[in-house]
Amino acid sequence: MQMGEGQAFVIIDKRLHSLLTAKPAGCAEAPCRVPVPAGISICEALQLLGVRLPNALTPVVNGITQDLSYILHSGDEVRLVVQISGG
Amino acid sequence: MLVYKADTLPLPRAEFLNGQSAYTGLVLHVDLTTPRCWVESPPEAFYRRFVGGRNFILHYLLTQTPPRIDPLGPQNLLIFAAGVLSGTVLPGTGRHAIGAKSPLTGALASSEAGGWWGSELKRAGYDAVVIHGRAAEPVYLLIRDREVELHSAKHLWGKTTADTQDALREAVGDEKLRVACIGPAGENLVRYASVMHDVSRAAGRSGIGAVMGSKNLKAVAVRGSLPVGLENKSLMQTVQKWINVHYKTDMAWAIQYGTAGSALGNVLTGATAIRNYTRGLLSGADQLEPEQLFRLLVRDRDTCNKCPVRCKLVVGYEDEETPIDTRYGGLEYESIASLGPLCDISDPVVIAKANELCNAYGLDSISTGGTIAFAMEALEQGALPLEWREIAPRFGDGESLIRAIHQIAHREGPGDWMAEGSQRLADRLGGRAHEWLATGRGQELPMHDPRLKQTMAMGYALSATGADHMHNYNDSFATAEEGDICSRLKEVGLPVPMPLWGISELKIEAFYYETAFKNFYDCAVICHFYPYLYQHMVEALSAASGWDVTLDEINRIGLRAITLGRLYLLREGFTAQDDRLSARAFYKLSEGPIANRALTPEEMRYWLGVYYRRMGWDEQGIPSRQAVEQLELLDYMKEN
Repeated sequence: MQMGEGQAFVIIDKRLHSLLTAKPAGCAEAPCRVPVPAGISICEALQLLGVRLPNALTPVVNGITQDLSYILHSGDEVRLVVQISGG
Repeated sequence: MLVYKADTLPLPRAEFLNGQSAYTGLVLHVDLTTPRCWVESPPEAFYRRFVGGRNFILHYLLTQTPPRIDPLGPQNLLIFAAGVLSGTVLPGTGRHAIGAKSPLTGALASSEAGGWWGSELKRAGYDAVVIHGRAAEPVYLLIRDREVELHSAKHLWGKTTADTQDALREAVGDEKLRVACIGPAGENLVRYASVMHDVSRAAGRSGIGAVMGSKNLKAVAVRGSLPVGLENKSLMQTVQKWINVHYKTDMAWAIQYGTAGSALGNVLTGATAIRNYTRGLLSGADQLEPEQLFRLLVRDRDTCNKCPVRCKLVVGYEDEETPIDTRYGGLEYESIASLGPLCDISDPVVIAKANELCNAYGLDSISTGGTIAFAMEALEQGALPLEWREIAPRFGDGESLIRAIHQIAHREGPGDWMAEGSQRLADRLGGRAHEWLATGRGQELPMHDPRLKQTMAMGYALSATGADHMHNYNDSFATAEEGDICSRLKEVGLPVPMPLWGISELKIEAFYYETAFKNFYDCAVICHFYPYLYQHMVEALSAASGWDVTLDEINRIGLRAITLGRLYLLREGFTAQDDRLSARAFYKLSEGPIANRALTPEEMRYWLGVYYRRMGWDEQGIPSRQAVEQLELLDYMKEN
């Protein structure tokens, strides 16, 4: 995992927080905004935070939908959307 | 009018049944023209090859209807089909499928519904009901413990779905009578009319409600007390034990808010199309936040047969101006998105009222929203007739949305044109109207934007039913190792996770397996929200039937549905050139979460070719004799 300079932020809203099987450090209650190092992928950031849930997540970075392999830049704000079925 | 008592009904007993299998071995046929009915007892091999649902529907359409018939004529069949697993103790099996030739697309209509109807049909003694012909006047069919009655429904014609169900339950004196019926939309042959079950469960897509209306069949009510057997209870219990533990975590989303809980998230990621696919941002989107939706509208929860999840919502609103009747159940994501953001509307009360009307009139909410959004753009572009300018629906105008639904169901004013669907409306308007269309094979796109979910877009173009999100591959769900899709892909040896964007050889392989699995679900007939893996289906189907089922067999059952669907399309005159999406699927947005993202039509054509080869089809999308033979479907190829 290669860290860059600066920080990005992962936002965990109430919905996501309620579905997590493990809550990340520094996020006992939602909503919360958790700093992560820039230069790593979103997937790595989630591992670092210990974010776990039984459904897939789609990250929206600064309002743009991205893959989990997206490399975070300093100041990026990541909102995570739980992917659930639609009927 | 017509009564067949169980002891007088010609009832061939299926010799292979030992009374413990989960299927009855009996298919009821009712000819409304004569009228008369008879019972067929298909051989065991038929059940093992097809299992039920979509495969049953395609079998009857391919063998018992001539090519290129009028979908609204008496030659069309209307097939209600449960599956081998329907009505068993396994959670998620309280479903059934309904099929016909679609009056919307001219292709296959095959739609599934939850609730209790499918399970009750099994308890009433039949695996499927095939409706032939056309009644001279409105009728309803009553099936109880193999007994069949056909009665006049003249007094029910014109009634909403809830009033129809209430009237039938009162007439029969049974509060638990399970009713599948049409509303005024089906009677008026709206090409995307649905068949409603238990009032709030729609077999929504492709216009089967119009087929039912064309047959003057208002309702099919079922009630039974016959047991649904199991060949191997302990094996089924292993699957039950697994799901009873896993649903609490894997389906926590459904327990929490149902599919309505995804509305805001899907707007934020770009999965929801806004303002007929022309905008990337929705004004007032925060109103779709699930907690707020629930506080405002949700009065109770509801469920389907043997389902502990209770994902169904019961929506109500106690307001003099916009009362919402709780009998019509609740909001699902697809309805919220198509009647809301697609029409540039974010007011939850307006969306809930529109949904209530779709359920009351028996309208597919996806095609209703899609067609109205198209009409809204046509109005904005000045393409509608002058006399409709004041009464046609407008983007962002909830009142005009509600008015449009009334107009469509009763075919009044612009509603008569909108009742034909957006494709026919575009044909009628001419000019640039086709540039504003969002359809696949003439059916309005579901609310998973093809510009975000690009492999799903290919599935929209390919499906024999027209664009459909259920028997499809969802690009957003396989992007992390978590979740049932990735677990299934691992079972067939594919590396996971898959990338979100674009299509690749690997994603085609994932699409190949996942669409086969989803088609198996629609044959079995199982709720798509249940996260079962291949191994669970192997065990459940073996336990229900007594067969020694394999993973490959599960895959082949799904592939049969895809292949039979393809053979049906070809028989009806479709070609590879019809495997495409209309212009809006490729329209690049300049703002929002999926700005500048979309496949090109050329890219889609290329990947379709790769999929054809994977399926053993030629470059024209025609299945090779060898591919058909491998699936033991050669007898259906001869029908062409």
